[in-house]
Order: sequence, then structure tokens, then C-alpha cells
Amino acid sequence: MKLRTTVFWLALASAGVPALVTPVVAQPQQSEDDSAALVREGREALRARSYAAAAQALDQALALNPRRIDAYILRAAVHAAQKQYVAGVAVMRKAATLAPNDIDVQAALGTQLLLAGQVSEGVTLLEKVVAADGKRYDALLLLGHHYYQNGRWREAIVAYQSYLATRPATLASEDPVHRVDLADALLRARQPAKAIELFAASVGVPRVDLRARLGVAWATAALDCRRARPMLAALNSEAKQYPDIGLVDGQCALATGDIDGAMKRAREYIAAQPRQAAAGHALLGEALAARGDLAAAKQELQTAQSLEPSRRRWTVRLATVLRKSKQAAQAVELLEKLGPPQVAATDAEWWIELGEAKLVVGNAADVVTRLAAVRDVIPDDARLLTVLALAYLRQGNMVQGTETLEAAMKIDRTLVRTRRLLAAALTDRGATEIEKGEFSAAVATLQHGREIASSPALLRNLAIALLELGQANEARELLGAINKPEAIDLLLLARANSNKLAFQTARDFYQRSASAAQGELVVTVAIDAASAELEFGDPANAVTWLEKIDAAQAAAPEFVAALRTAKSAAGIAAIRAGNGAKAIELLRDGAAADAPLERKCELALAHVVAGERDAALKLLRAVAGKSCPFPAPADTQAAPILEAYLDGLTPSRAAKALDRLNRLAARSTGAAAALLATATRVVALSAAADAFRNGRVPQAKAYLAQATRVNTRVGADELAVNAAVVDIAEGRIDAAVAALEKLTSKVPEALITLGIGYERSNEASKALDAWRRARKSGVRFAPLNDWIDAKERVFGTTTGGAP
Amino acid sequence: MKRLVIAGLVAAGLVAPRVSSAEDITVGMFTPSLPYAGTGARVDAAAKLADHLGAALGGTGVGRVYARANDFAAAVKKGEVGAALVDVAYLSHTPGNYTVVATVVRGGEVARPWQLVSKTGTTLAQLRGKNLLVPTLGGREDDFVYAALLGGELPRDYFAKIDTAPDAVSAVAAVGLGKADAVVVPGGVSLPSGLVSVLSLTSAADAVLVVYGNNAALRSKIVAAVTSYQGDSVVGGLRTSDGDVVTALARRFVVALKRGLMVVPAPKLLVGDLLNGATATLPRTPAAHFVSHVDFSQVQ
Repeated sequence: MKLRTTVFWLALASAGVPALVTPVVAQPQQSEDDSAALVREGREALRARSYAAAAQALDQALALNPRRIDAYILRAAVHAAQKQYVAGVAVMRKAATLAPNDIDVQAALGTQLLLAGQVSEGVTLLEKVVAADGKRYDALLLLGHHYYQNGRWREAIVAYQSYLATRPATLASEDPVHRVDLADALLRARQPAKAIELFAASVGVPRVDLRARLGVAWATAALDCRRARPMLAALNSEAKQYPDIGLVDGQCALATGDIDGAMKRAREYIAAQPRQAAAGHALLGEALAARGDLAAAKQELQTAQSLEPSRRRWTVRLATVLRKSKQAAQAVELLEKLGPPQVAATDAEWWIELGEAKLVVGNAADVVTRLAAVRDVIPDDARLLTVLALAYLRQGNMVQGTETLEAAMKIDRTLVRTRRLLAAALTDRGATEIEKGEFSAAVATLQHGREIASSPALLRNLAIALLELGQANEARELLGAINKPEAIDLLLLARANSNKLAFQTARDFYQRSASAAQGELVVTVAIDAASAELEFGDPANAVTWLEKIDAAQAAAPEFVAALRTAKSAAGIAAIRAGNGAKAIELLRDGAAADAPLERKCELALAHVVAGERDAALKLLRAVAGKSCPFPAPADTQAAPILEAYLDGLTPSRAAKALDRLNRLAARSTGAAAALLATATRVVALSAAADAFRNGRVPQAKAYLAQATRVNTRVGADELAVNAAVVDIAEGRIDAAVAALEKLTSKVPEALITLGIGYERSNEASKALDAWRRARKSGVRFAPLNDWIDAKERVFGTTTGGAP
Repeated sequence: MKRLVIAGLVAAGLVAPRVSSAEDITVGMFTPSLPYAGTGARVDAAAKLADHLGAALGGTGVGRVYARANDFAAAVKKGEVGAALVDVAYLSHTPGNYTVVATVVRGGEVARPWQLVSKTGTTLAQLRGKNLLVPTLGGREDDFVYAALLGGELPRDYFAKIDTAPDAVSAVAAVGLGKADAVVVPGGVSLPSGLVSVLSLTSAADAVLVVYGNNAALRSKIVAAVTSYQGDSVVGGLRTSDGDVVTALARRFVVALKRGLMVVPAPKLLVGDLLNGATATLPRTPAAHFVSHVDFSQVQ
């Protein structure tokens, strides 16, 4: 509805509502009565659209009483109806001199000023009126109209809504028109959902039906182009009259990825009205840009710009294409040349594109300055806030960036970019919190981020925070959700699985992490895996992990130290397992003259276990008198005890070695005494075995007696086995068999002698069973297989029954 | 064939067996365990091997078959035999100045289990106190049967008597004819109807090719000729070998007294306590080191 039509209707309404135009000052009673009558006459004439009569009556009324304010107002309305706007202003200015604070006068003057094209003064006056009385529907409607025409959508919305709430019943017939205007303002203010309601309420109402139907389609398009397109298709019959229908459909086609459809619509639009085809060229340009043909897109938008140079929209779109064509500097130049809108809020697109282009050219500071300045007047444009937020983030202002993105989210939660940026900002904040050790805060931050938009980096950070809080299960689930896990993710998964139950799974993840790792991470993964292996008791695997590292990376000091530690642990484990050769291999750098004492001590033990007498003696002499890392007092006394022990393992020196060990016993205590007792027993048992092998049974018995006298738990079972061996040799078969049966679980070698015992008792099947068990237990005894074979041949492989 | 001399039929003194010349060689054959069908087959086999080795030496070869161990030993002692194909069982208890150069390949195998053969349905238990035959090995047949083949698992009086037969085939035939209760022969010997293998015994090589004396050049040439020898239905060929096949069987002639096994605690029990409390840890990279920051200069 045109402004002047609006004023007319308002004037009519005013004419019908005396309360609005009450007399201000009384004259002598006669004149007052006459002028009042003339005013009534004028009002009636105005209502009857008899403008000349109205003018005459009102002029006479003013002649009788020039201070009659209602007469001025009605007279100005008549001027307005007769399009005598300057005269109308003059009448109301005169009234204003009489009653400068009269709100009716201000409203009427503001109206006349608007009609006369003196917009600024008129709007100021009307805004003053509305500020003083929020129910001044006439001023509200005029302001709404003004705001609408000037693209001040948010202000228009408020004005229209206030008008509809306060207007008198006599004006209700005009509501559909104003509701559609309000809906249109809502749509343009990016509130399509609310707009749809109002548009829909006006569908079928005469005068506004088509606008309402178009509005529903437009607003639906703003919400969901897929739903909108069928509606737009239904409006096809109106397309000739309203080519914008095809244009909107084309924009929807573009939004839904139907580039061909968009281009078709654009070309139809251009063909339908070649002289006013700027919008068509713009749509075509956007479609071409979407297709990636930026040069052609630029050309089309330049055409649109040349056809309608005053339309800021085409320039902004052209700038967008320039930016996407890696000509952001030109985009900035173009936008700056166009300049900001006179009223900042009327062209959010310009501000947004300016921000985007300036971000590309690296001028985040200017983006912050300029967009922050208009934030207050464009407070509800989520895209503008998003660009501003990105500028903050680029500046490293994480707090402002995050807050701005949160504000954008409150306006529109559907914007993918906003969500992605906010999640990224929270990811970064979470990382900082983790680095500060604020793990619980980090979890809260990152959980919030995850609700907005997940990403591998966010999940990784969250998993790290949870791991630090000991919540491995939760961390494992998060890391498992990462689509293409990187080496670090796999490493963290390994850590999350590092428990006794799932350690093999951890190993698998370490393996995958090692395969994916590059650069310094290779060493990090290897050390981590080795650390886990040590923790879970497999130092040999720890060494294996570290030995996979190539020479170039193996020179790093932390790696050298890790490998040394792992080898030491693996060497000790090998010693404990009785694998002396492996222990020597792992600890061999202890043989170097400058090797640390502890390594020399460990290597000496490795040689003892391996039975490498000479090498062991050499090392033991090297550490003699020094403090090895053994429990005191064995730290210093172990060396001479072990020297005697090693000597004693040579049968010819056993007796002398046992004497030496006996002498050392006097000054050995604690761990040293335990070592001494064990050494004595082992030497005695070893000498007994040698004597027995060589048929010197009495000597073997003497050594066994010596071994028996030692007070130690070590070798007690072996001692009992050997006593049974002597029993067998001396014919005490039953007693020996009974003793050996009890010992086989602890000393599998007892099965050999047990089998002999059974054979001597003519129990071939039991003998065969004993030897088979010995073989299964891994007992090493050269004739064992022949014995089994012979028994199986004669007595059968299964029954062992006697022939 | 005309060069062939049958040692079992011709007295050693009548036909003058000679020490080989540089080009010629006399190849003896004492292999009662090999299942040749008869003397003719043995003679042919000896001749074939002699021809092969003679040709390898660039001269001629003469084959001689010996039926009795004493005759063979005497011929060897006299230096009448340059090389010989001899039962491993015989060599296992008979020292001599020979070098094993090859093992007989029979049925694709160089060794196989011997077997105790008797009439169908007979068990080992039923053979207690019965008579046993064995292809002659020139002595120590009891040790061969009880120790080498049975591993000392049966008492020495288990069989009433162990007699010798001239060869494996005749031994098996004797059981078939009821002249003996059982026989031990190498595996792979064809058994006539009514006889079965009652027990599988120790595995051993059948026979080996030995070279007498210390003529290294001669030995080398013979060794070189070994793999190209293509024999007959019994001895399919020869495979280069050494004396281990003989000594392995020789060791079995005596069953060692089984003695118990004394055990000594592992050295780890000695030193293990010294290492108690030794624990190693490796410092790990703090998890915080792995956090991901966002490079907003790259974010659009």
C-alpha cells in the first residue's frame, strides 16, 4: 500500500474518531460553537470525500477560531487528500506554533512532512510521537511503512505489530494488507517461520491473496527449498505476471543443487524481460559459479550490475564470485567502492561479504572493527556474527570468537559453518585447558563442542582429557568413533586398552600406530609401546619395539636411554627365566670398560646363568668390592660367592669350592647368606650328579649329604630326586618310585628315573607312560626317544601291555 | 657273466681273486639281508655293480658273491676285494679297514624298520620259547636281535633259540615251511601267503658300499660313480653316505644299563633373588602433548 493511501485512510479514521482531535483552546462561546459546527461539517465532508466542501468549512472554522487545533489537523488531511502536501505541512507548522507539545499536532505534522518528501524530519517527529505514546497507531503505521520501504525490517516488524495491536476497529478492514507487509518484513528479516504463519492467514483474502500465496512459497523457500518448489510450480500460472516466481524457483533449484534448473529459470527470466533482467543475470551468475565457471559467473553478475547499478545486491554477489575466484582484493575494492549502506542494517549481505573478502586477504583486524561496529544494529544475523567470530578467532581472540559463535547459534542453530566453527573453537579451548591440566573443564568444553559438531580433533582432545581423568572406557569409545584414525589416535587407543584384559588389543593398536606414524612420532610410538610392554611384564617385547627404529632416529638421547632401560629389564627377565644366552645378548654392552656398574653386575649374572664360567669370573672380578644393585649385603658379597660357585661347577674343583663357600658362610648375612646356601647346595648337587654319571655312587652320596646339610629351600626337590636316583641304583625301587611320583610335577626330570624304577619293577606300561610324560614336559635327555621307541615297538604304542 | 666268479661255489684258492689293478676292480658282495630271489640274482647284481665301478675306474670290474661271512672276511683279509656291498648288520660287529661311501637305496629308502615275521595270527607273546631265524651276519645274532632290534625290551631267553639262515628270502621260506617259528628280516621283504609281520623293529640301513684300503684316488672315483649307478629290482641304486649308518647300528648291539638322572637346580634359582625388586619403567610422552589445536588461519 502506498504511503499516501495509508494517510488517506488514517485521515478518514481520524475524522471518525473525535477523541483524537480534541479542541485545544476555547474562544468566546459564540465563535466556539460556530467553529465547532464548521469543524463537524468539514469532517463529514472529508468522510464523504467532498474535499472542496471540507476545505471551505474548515477554513471558515479556522477563521472563526484560529486556535482550533482539530481544524488544523483536518485541514491538513484535506490538503493531503488533494495532494497539496506543501500546504498541508504549512498548515501543521502553524498548528505546531500554537501547540508545540501537542502529540496530535506532532503526529499530523510528521505525517504531512512524510507526504511532502521531508522524510527525515517527518520520521523523527513520528518516532517522537510513538516514544511518547506507544498506542499511536497512526504514527506506528506510517513508521512501519517507512521502515518497510527502506529495508529496515526489524523496525518495520515492531511498528506493524504495534499498529495491529492498537489500531481502532474501524481500520480492521485494512489488516490483511498490513499483515502481509508485516509477513514480508519478517521474511526479509530472516524469520521465515513466523512469516509463513502470517502469509498463510492471508491466503484467500481478497486484495492480498496472490501476495499471500507468493509469500508462503517465498518463506517456505527460505526454510526448505525442496518443499517450496512444488508450491512455486503451483504458482506457475501467475509466472507471466510475476516473473519473480520463476526467479525464486531458480534460486531454490540452485539451493537444492539443481544447477541446470536454476540456469533454465534464469534464462527464462532474462528472455521474458530482457531490459529488466538484472535478477536473471544475477541468478545465472550464481548458477555458473556453483558449477565452477567463475569467469562466466563474473560476466553475468557484471551484466546484472550494469543493468541495475543501484542494486547493491548485484555488486555484493559479484564480490562473492570475485572472492571465490581468488580475487578477494578486487572484491574488497568493489565493495568499498560501493560503500556501506546508508542505514547499516539494510544491507547485511554487504557487511558479510566485506568481512569474508577481508578475511581472505588477511585483514581480520579490519573485519573485527567494522562488523563489531554494526553488530548492534544487525544483532540477529547469524551469518554476520559467524564472519565476525571467525575474524576474532583469526586474531587469536578465542573468548570473543567463541562468545560470538554462541550468539550466532542462538539465532540460528542450523548454520553448518557456525556449528563447525564453534566446535573448532571449543576444540581449541579444550586443548588449552588440557595443557593447563584442567581436565574436567576440558571435558565439559569438549562435550559441549561434541553436541554441536564432532570432528576427529575434538574427539581426540576429549579422549585425552578422559584418559587423564582415568576414564579409559569412555576414551576408547570416542577414539573408536574416529573414522580414519591417525597414528596419534591409534596410540591413544592403545593407551586406552592398556590393561591386563585387553593388552593384546593394545598391542594391535600400537602396531597400527607404528605403521601410520611418521617423523618424530615413530620414536614416540615405539617408546610408548615399549613402556606399556614393561608395565605389563614383557620387557623382551619392549626391546623388540625399540629395535624397529632405524639408525637415523635411534640416535636421539631419549631413545638411547629408553633402549638401555628396556634391554636391562629384558636381560633381567631372561636371567630370571634361565635364558642366559639371551640375557648376555641383551646386556652385552655391560662388557665395555666404561659400562655402568649395574650393567656389569647384571651381565655377570647373565654369564653365570649361561654357564659361561670364564666370562662370568672376569666380570665378577671387575665388580668385586663394588656395590652391585643387589639387596644388601649381597651387593658386595655376591661376587666372591659366585666366583666360588662357578669354580665348584667344574667337578675337579667342587670339593675346594665347597670349602671356600663354607668359609664365606661365617661372614655372610641376609641375602648374601641365602645366596651362599643356594650356591653351596647347587655345587654339591652338581658334583653329586657328575660322580653318579661316572659311576661313583658313594662319592655322589657324600655330595648329596653335603647338599642336604645346607639350610635353604632352593634345590630341595632336586635333592629329593637325586636321593631317589641313588635308591634306584642301590635297588630300593619301591621307595624311590613312591618318592619320585610326588616330585614329578615340580621336577619333570624325575620322570626319567621314575620310568627306570617302573621298568625295574617289570611295569613296562608305567615306564613308557613316565617317559612319554617326560618328553611332553620338554625334559632333555638324549636316550629318551630311543627308550620310548623301543618300548612302543615291543609293547605297542597305546597299551604298552606286556607281550 | 663269463667274468663272474661265484665265491660260494668256487674255493678261494682255486679261482685266484686278485687285488685290482689301477684300472680293474673286484667288487665283493656279502648281503644276506637283501631279499634277492636266489644266488643267480645275487651274482647278476654283483656283476652289474662291478661293471659299473670298473667302468668308472677306466677298466673292468669283477663281481664276487660271498655266502658266508668267514669267506668274505678271508677274501678281504687277503686283499682280494677292492670294494664291496656289505650288510650293515655284519659290519656293525666287524671292524675292518674300509670306508663307507654309499648306502643302498631300496624301494626309495636308505633305511627301514626290520620286522619280526611269523605265521598269521601269531602274537609276540606266543613266540616266547620259540625258535627264531635271522639272515646270517657272521656272529652276534643274539645281540643283534635282543639289543639292536628289540632294544633290550625282551629278556635274553625269550626265544628258545636264534639260528641263522643264508639269506632273508630263505629265512622267510623256512618259516613258511615250518622249519622255524619266526624270522627277523628287513622291511620290504615279500612275505609268502600265511606269514605276517608281527612286530616292527628298529630301523637300520640294509647294506653299504665300502672301499677297502687307503687308496684315496680309487675311493674318489668310486664315490663319483655312486649316484649314477642304476641297480635292479632289489637294490635300486646307491646314495652317497658315510660310516654313521654302521656305527649307529653298532651302538645298539649293547643295551646300556639305564641309570637314573640326577638333577641340578637351574642357575636362575641361584641368582634370581638378587634381582628381586628390579623394576624398569620408561617415561611416556604426556597425553597433553598430543592435543590438537586448531589453526584458524586455515579454517574458512
